[in-house]
Amino acid sequence: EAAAFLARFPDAEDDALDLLLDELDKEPLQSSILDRDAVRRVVALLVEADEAVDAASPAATSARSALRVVDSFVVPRFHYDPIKKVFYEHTSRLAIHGEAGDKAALYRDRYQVLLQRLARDIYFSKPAFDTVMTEDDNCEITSIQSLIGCTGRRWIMGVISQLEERQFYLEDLTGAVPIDLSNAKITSGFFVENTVIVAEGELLSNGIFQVNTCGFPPLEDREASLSMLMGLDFFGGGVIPTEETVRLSTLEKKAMNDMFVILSDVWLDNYETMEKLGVVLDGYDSLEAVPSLFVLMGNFCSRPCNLAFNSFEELRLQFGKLGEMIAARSRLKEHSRFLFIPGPDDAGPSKALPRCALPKYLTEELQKHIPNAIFVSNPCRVKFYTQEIVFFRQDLLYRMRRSCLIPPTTEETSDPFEHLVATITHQSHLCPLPLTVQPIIWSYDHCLRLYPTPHTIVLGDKSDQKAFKYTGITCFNPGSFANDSTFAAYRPCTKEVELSALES
Amino acid sequence: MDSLISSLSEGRGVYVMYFPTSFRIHAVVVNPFRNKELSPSFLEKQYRDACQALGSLHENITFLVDYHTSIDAGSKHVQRMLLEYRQQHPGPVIGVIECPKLQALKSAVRALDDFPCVTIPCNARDNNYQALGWQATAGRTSMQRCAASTQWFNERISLARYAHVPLGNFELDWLLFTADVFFSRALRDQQQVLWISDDGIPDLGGTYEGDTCFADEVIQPALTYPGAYRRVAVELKIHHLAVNSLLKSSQVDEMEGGPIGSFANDMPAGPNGTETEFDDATLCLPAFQVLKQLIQRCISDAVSSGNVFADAILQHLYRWLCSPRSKLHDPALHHLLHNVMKKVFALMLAEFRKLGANVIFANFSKIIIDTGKVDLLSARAYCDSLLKTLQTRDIFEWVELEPLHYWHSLLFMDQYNYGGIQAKMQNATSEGSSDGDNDIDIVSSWNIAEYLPKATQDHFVLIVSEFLYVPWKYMKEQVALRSTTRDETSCTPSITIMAAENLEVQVIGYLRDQISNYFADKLLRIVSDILHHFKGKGKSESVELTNREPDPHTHKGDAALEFIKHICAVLALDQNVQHDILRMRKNLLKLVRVKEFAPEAQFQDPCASFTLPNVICSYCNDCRDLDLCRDSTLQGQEWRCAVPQCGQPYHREQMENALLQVVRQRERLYHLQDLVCLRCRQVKAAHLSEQCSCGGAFRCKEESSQFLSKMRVFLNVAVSQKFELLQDVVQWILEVR
Repeated sequence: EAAAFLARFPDAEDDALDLLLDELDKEPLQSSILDRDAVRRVVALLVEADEAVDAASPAATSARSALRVVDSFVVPRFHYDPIKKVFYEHTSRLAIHGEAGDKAALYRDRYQVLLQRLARDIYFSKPAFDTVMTEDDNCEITSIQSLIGCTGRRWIMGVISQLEERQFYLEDLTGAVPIDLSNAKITSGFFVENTVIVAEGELLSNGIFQVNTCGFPPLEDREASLSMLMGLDFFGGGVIPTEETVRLSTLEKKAMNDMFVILSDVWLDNYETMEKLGVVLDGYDSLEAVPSLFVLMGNFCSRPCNLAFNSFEELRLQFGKLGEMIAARSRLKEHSRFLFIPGPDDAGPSKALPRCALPKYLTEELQKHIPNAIFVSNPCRVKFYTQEIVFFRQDLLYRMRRSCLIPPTTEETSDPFEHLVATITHQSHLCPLPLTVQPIIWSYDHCLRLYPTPHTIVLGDKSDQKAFKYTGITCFNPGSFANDSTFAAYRPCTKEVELSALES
Repeated sequence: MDSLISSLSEGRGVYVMYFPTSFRIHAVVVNPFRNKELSPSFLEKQYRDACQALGSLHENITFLVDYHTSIDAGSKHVQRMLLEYRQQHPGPVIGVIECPKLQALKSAVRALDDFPCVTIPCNARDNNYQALGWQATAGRTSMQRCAASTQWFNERISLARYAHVPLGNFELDWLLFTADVFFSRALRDQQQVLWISDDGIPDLGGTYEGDTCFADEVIQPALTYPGAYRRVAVELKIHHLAVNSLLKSSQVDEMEGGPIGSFANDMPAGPNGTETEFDDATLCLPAFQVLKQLIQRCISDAVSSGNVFADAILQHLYRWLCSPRSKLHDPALHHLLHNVMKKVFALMLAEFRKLGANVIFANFSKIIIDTGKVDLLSARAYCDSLLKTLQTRDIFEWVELEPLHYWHSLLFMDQYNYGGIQAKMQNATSEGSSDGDNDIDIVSSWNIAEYLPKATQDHFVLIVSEFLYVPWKYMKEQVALRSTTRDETSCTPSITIMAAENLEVQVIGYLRDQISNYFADKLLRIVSDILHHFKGKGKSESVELTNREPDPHTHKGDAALEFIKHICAVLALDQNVQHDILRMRKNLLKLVRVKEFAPEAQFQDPCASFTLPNVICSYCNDCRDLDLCRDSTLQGQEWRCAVPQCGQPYHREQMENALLQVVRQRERLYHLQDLVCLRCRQVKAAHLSEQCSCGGAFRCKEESSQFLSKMRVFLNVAVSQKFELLQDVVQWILEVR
């Protein structure tokens, strides 16, 4: 953290270090040991101040200062206290390999986030005046433990789990109840294990909860979430004061020339893909205003990293060639930033999410040519002025469809991508799949949260290119560049997506 | 046919074109400098020598040499010559190319596009030129390759005829390719789906969701019985276990009373148990049967018809099954055969024990048995009889057991920690053995000694060697003495048995005397010297003397204490004198003021390690599990095959990738593991609960500290071998900055 901070001031490293140490002295430490969290907070403050200064300068429209990339592993973690009804920050160290409590906390935190959101929804609030509402309109959530002895229609909210073979349960913080989904009417989305649902139904005499209707917890407007959170930094890019938000928002709308180009499945070992990439780069290099940001998402190799793959040195050289290719287009090299996000089959320590950035061994050659290339985790977050954008590269659609328990309803839409968007936004989670389908690092589940709702979500998937605006959230899949020659261009000033493709 | 041999290095190189139909060899040498060392007469001599070495006929060949100063000029010259050859010989021609970078060569010499080409595997060393005199070396090597190319080509034609495959279709590894083709045909004949894929995972339609990495599950069983074996032991090499297991799988079924598919259920559910899909074993049974029939046909071709290719396929069967580069590689099939091999292996060991042998150590490659015989001749006769008897068992029909070494005396802790008195090879084969000192070697292979300072190591090895030699020498003298006495008195057999037992008691008694007097005195003096020697040094200096980084749990810095623990752990391997050793140990510990049962006084193997399974040498087909931190042959920079006459380096990136896949698999399994209740030991079923229904707290099945200490082993390996990618990966897992 400190080294990254000092790298921002290549000519004044000593001064920057003194400033960092001075600020650390003011920081109230919990112990005599200087841990990563304290350094991170101070660095975030200083970076914030630095960018404020940059923003006030005549070069206010510079993309360099407007853009901030957040790695998943530095996103702060917040827990919800149901007694005080506030979120508080997790301050101790987050281990990549956690203990037993961390695994349970993963589920509980997800549930708590959605429960506190639901509690503010008008249909599920406790009635303040009993006489005002009739019995049929009362949708108060009953805890599962309280279901025992209850008769009649009830609303419950819980996590779908399979505690016994072929028997599904709903779990909440108090207990679990077996459910029967065979006659349930559902809303849009993929209902898979580990999703949180709100179910209306009745507890039968055999102890099974018969579900009549169920759906995902209702969405909350981003502004409503932010007002409730009162300045907590859920996104990870630092908190912007209200007056600054107005100013930055104005600048954002004026940034007509800023464009993000997003490509997925950039196979460096495939000759045709590299040729096509050259065409794309040439095209943008010749524009009057070059794109601010290129996002290259993996897989960066046509073959997965498994026992049969033995060519890491070659892959390293291919990254070097990519660096040469970019450097040869001098305007892109000077004015664009390049962001690299690993794909699900790229080499690295694990397949668990979030995934750390590509290994240094593979990227060293590229960095010789493009020193300011950014290598980040998957998923990663990008803040552009006030806009929050989440990038996630995972073949999610296929797994969701394979894992869903009930075929999706076709009432609102039959488009699988739209069902996927509905699922992850309502769940406020990028990957609400069972851990056995997609392992998740227990202590870092919060990095996959989508709460408060970001402005834009980029879902890199090998399925077809697609864009969809869902309740004000822009979601798109750039498609597979290697397979379909498809990519996407995003203009943050208007939140418009151009789905592009090369002629083949 | 024309042969093109090319090797290049830093702007220097040699192209050699061999045109058998024109009786011409033309060399093009690229040399930026002026010296010209190759001449037609030199090449002619080298070629004649190479032909004589191969035993092939030497024709009347014309030799030509041309020099150029740049690779480009050399390439153009080759291009021109091939075009000329094409014009002069318009009939069918095939190119046989031996070149390290084939694509680069073809780009430079476009004339090759007009020739169908086959490729001879290239030796990497051909491209390493020394600074001076490289031209003579390159010339000699290229003549050897030219002489061999005709023979190679003819062999390839024979293979094409046997396999019914077009000549140009063979890939670099013809064995994997041919085995895949044979298996494909057999599967098709049986109406089965071909799951051909090029990434090591069967292509059965759809995206494969699970990770099928069996690297942690196919470790060879290794049975170790530590002890001191004072009678002759024999070390046997096992050959063809895979082929035998495949062919005898039906007999194994009958003996076990169940189908092959049930083997998976016999496996104890280890940490990977929940991850394994047991249905895989049942699903691949039809393919297993097809594979078995295929191998039976290869046996017929090899044994009845003497076909060398069928024999080679049998030799490399296990390598083919293990290789993810095989197009028809199926981890489940490999796993299934592995289980059968374990069954046959267990049956073989049971048979050895039934025949009176005592197993000291056994794995899929090697068995060491205690013959119970006192002298070498009896042991050798016993061993021959044992092997003959085993060969008569139908279930071991195809297994071949080859005696490698005979040991007069063996002190065995584990595969990497042993010492012994080994009989020399000529002695083992000669009839009239004299059992003199000149006929033995004292072997010391103690990995644990590597963790002692150098000076202490020498003491360690010396004491252990004496512990082996002294009782053996005494027993030899007693045997000779009794032999003289027996000649005079003509004793009866019953008295001989009593005499043998008496001899053993006598030797034990002698050894105990030696421990109380000689060894105790010597060790007390050594420990005093160590204390005195290291008194003036700080702990950090002592740590610096350690050759390798030990397990973090080992108490570092106290050289005397470590020496006592190591030496007594080894000497205590002899059960007969264990009590005496423990008493001596107590006295030694007093010298360093450590209580006998204090935790720091307990011996622990200082070397945490990892075993990489099924590493197969690409040259000699040896298949073994490599213990990366304990195997002394792997220490140092480059990992090589340990078979004495081979020494082929293992493929570095393959080794690094195998380790990387194990790391990834373990990392994934950590995040998928179950939680267990501390009180009632039940596995946690619900997701959100923080306590068990019995009120107990939960813990991980594998604690993070255990997991991370295992990962540290991989980090050590990555650092010592300069595996940069593996190091990046493991450092992230360990959160090392």
